[in-house]
Amino acid sequence: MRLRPVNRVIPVLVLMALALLWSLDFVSIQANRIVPGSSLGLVAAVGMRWALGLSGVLALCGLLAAYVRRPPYGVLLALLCLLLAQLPLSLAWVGEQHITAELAHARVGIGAGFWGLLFLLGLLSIELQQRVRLHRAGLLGIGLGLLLLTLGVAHLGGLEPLALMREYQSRRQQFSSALYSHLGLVAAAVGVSLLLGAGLALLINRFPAIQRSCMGLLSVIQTIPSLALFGLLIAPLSYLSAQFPLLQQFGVRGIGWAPALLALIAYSLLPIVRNIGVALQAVEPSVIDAAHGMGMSPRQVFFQVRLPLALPVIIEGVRVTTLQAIGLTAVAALIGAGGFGTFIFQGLGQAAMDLIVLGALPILLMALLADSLFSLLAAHYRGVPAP
Amino acid sequence: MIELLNVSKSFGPSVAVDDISLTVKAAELCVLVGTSGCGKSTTLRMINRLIAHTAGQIRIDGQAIDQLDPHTLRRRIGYAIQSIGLFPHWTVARNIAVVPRLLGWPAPRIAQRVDELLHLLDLPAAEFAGKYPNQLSGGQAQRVGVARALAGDPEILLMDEPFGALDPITRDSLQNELLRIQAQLRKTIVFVTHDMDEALKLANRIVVMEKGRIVQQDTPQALLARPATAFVENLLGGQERGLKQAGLQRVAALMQPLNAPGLRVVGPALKTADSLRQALSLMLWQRCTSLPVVDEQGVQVGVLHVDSLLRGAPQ
Ligand SMILES: Nc1ncnc2c1ncn2[C@@H]1O[C@H](COP(=O)(O)OP(=O)(O)O)[C@@H](O)[C@H]1O
Ligand SMILES: [Mg+2]
Repeated sequence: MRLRPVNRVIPVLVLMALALLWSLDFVSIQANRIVPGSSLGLVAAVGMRWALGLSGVLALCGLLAAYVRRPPYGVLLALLCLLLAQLPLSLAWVGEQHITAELAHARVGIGAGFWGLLFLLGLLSIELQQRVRLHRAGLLGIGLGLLLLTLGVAHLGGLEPLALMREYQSRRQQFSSALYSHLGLVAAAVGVSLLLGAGLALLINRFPAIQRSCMGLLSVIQTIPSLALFGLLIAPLSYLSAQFPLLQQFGVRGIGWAPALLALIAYSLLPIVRNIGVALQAVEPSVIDAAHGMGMSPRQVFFQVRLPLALPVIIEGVRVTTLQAIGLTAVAALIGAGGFGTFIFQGLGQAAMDLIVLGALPILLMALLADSLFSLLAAHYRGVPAP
Repeated sequence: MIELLNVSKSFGPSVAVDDISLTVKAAELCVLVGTSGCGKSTTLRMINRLIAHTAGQIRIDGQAIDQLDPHTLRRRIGYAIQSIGLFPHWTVARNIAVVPRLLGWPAPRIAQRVDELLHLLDLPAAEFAGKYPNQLSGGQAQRVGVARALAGDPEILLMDEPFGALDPITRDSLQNELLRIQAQLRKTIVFVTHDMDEALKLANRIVVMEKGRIVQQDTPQALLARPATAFVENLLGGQERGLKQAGLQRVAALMQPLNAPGLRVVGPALKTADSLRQALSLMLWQRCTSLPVVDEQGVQVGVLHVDSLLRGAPQ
């Protein structure tokens, strides 16, 4: 055995995970929604055997990475998947063990130790993805697999005692309408600003004189705090909907989806316009010269050369915009736009941590999903292999 | 045939090309040479209408180019540039296929043409057809650039310092390649360079430009023998003119052939295709006054004496 570790990242992450697991509470048990719960450490929560097994596998990963001359990263990835897969199962196991029939309203809160482990396993998976040169889609696949497994366990009732699930169960209708309005607002905002932004970028391309004023205006909008912009739009929209009853029929009012959508579009325009503009300009002049020289028409130059070469950067802009819109839509709940922000603000009002998580977790998942999907798409259109 | 009649181009108040007249005959390799900024590229780009001329007339095969649709015109004219400008999102094969596709050729004919050109430019199709431009060396990329320019089987080829960014060895081999291809295909080529050695090596006719005007146009030999101005003389390298001239002539022209069949030669020898400049250099290096001349197989076919080198070839 040598003393210098071959891979330093993995053992460090493993040590941190072990420290968090054994020092912080893994779960907490509440008798009902109101009373404070009692925290359980790892051993108390899942029992000695599970705790040792879990820690053993973690330690094995660290040792393999540190002290095997050519660390078997494939094996490590498999072990990591195992560790991830046991997470929802361990929660189900905790429920089985600790929530008995007498305690019908008791609930299991997820503790800091569990979240810490999840976070560190996430970091480990990124490190391992790079080590085994797994395609980014592979990482997305692992994430989706874990999500499906969790949903499956939840569907079978295994996660019923979780506080998160109890909050969900009492708000099924609200949850699905929040999902639809959140997704709807984000998609509409990104879609509309993509169309408007493309038009604006082409206009700026044609008339460079307007570039400064356009970009200046969009940058100013970007600096208005989101809450303020949502608020500022209430007055003009109330006025408009009072003046034109037709607008009311479509649900345009001072509060609700209309001001939220307008504000989201206003925020989304800058990154979209800037990325499209930069992307179209960044195409190498010699390539454009050659395209003209070969006898391509201006349309052909644009659609066959300029646009495909600009596409990765444009998609990058759409990715940034989508992430921004997913986050801002959460704030838009304050002016009645719906979405998962509703749960967050309700939870803040009631000091109900699990309700906040019920709102925040789907937002996080949506953001991660959008991020990896658009990154994959951009990589696909970049397409050209490295030299 | 390309004719420029009293052609000028001004960018606002500045005149880039000033009243030039020039005829490039079919199958001629005409080289425009001059210092940077003298209007060579502008002249070239006026021929395929990438730049509109402001005065005079340009004709191709007797037809004024402003009568033609610019895109149709450009598809008939091959175009290769120093920065190459390969389309980075397309494979080598797709890059070469650009003009044939614009011309609407059927797919099998395009595929066959791409294969032909890869072969012509000495790029094995199996290895290169599927590569992307960023996987090529500079020399390979410019070979693809030349193949792309030739793909639509144009009568005319415009080349703007195509080998300017390459290292000397690669440049030399691509120059030889171009001469070989030209001997085979006999295109009408206008070739721009600022390098007089390149011009002397490639040209049937050299057109020397200075500040937007043509100061002299002639064959390489005539140019060397009678430079019209001090500027041309300077461009020809002043005192090194003798060497440049020797560089234009082949050993075969001056050697004394053997009467009897020769033997294989071991040791220093000249090839028939070597230039007199190379012969002189080898004599200097070997400190000798005569060298055997061998054929491709290394069998002696003649002798070159320094005396005949000094007497020179009959002009
Ligand atoms: N698009 C343009 N606008 C203004 N001036 C130009 C333009 N293109 C070329 N010129 C000027 O025309 C002159 C000739 O340029 P060019 O033909 O590119 O020279 P060369 O190719 O011989 O180096 C230069 O002085 C250059 O600055
Ligand atoms: Mg030039």
